[in-house]
Amino acid sequence: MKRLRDQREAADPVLARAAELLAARAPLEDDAARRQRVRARLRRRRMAPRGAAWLRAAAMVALVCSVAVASAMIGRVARTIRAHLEAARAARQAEHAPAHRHHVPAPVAAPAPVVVPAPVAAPAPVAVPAPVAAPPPSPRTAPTPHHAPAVAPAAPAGDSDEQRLLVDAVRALRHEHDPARAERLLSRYLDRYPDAVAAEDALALALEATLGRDPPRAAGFAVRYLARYPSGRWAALARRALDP
Amino acid sequence: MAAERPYVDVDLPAAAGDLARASTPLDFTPVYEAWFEPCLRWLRALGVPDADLEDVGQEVFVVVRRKLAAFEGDKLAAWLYRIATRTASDHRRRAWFRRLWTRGARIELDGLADGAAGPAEAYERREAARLLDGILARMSDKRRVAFALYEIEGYSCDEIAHIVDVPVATVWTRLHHARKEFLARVAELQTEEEGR
Repeated sequence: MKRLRDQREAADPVLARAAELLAARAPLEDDAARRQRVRARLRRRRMAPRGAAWLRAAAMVALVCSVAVASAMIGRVARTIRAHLEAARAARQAEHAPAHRHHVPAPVAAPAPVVVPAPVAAPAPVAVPAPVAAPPPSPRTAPTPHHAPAVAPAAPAGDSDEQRLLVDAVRALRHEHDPARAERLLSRYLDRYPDAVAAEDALALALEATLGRDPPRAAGFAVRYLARYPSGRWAALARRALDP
Repeated sequence: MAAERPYVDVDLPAAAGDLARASTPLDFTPVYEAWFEPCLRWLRALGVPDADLEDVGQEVFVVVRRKLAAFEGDKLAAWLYRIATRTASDHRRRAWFRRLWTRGARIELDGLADGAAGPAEAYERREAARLLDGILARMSDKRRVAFALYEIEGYSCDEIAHIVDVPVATVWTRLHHARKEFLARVAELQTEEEGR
């Protein structure tokens, strides 16, 4: 059976793409230095005093205990705060409740307004006027509609947009041979995510996109790159752009 | 098939047989020298990231050193592979916990020293490797091992059968299903890419 990685020239685009993906992972080559390194570490480990392992285990146990105690305390504090809040809310409700409320104790216990309109069971509809029985709007629920939309859009856009911009830029640069579009996408990326993990790559890609086409802009990207990553992976390329 | 491999270091069955005949119980040093590199390849096929290979390989051989005296039989490769499987699975579990604390921030050491190609080519290669890892991660362990050892590391099906300790026909079946699954996922990926 022919290996997939050897089928880069296949007419079937799926096979060709599969071969391309597989080619990204080269077989692991032998490395004598690595073997020696691990060998030395194994030897050191054998010579290490056994006390170290006990000490580590004791530290682990202490850590687990302290985490357990801390979480128990946090839980207790949370319970106390919740009890205080409930008591305060009950007191507030008691203050607002009208004097004749004690005639009909059921609606006080039922917080949901849906339960209240059980007027069929209520013997005297006059004694339980609907607006009074309806619980006062909770202070927590009222302000939310004003605050909610302000926070929403920023968070979930996150990674996918970030990734897509970079992938599209690389595709524009490498496959569509459209460095101008690549530069636009990368500039947008750098504006939106100036401190992203792949910011270094984005700067280097922008540099590559402008290098032969627009030397002044390339120099700008090179200066930005060198300012942030003076000994970065693409520092040599950036220096070349500044001093052709 | 074996000749296509970029390395020709250990003839797996022969090495195991020779070692088994040489001494009983086995010495650790020759076992380590002969099997360390193949072990790393198996770990890689089991889904251990390149950056962690050395550490996990070391853990494997810590276990090997501890248990070698108790090893009996002639299937050394299969025995080592079983240890590698368990160590890789422990590593995966630990990595999952570690990610909880570090919030998934992971530095890919493979990418750091990649100064040869241009930025776009390097990025593209890294992206392809990321996609490949994603596809392999969705396969079952058995299929992934057969697929990765055959397609990436260049082992023959006979060698894989010897390591995993299953009949060759089973390896062929796993490989067949793994390839089918892999190509289906690649087709999905391609449709997604074209849809953008």
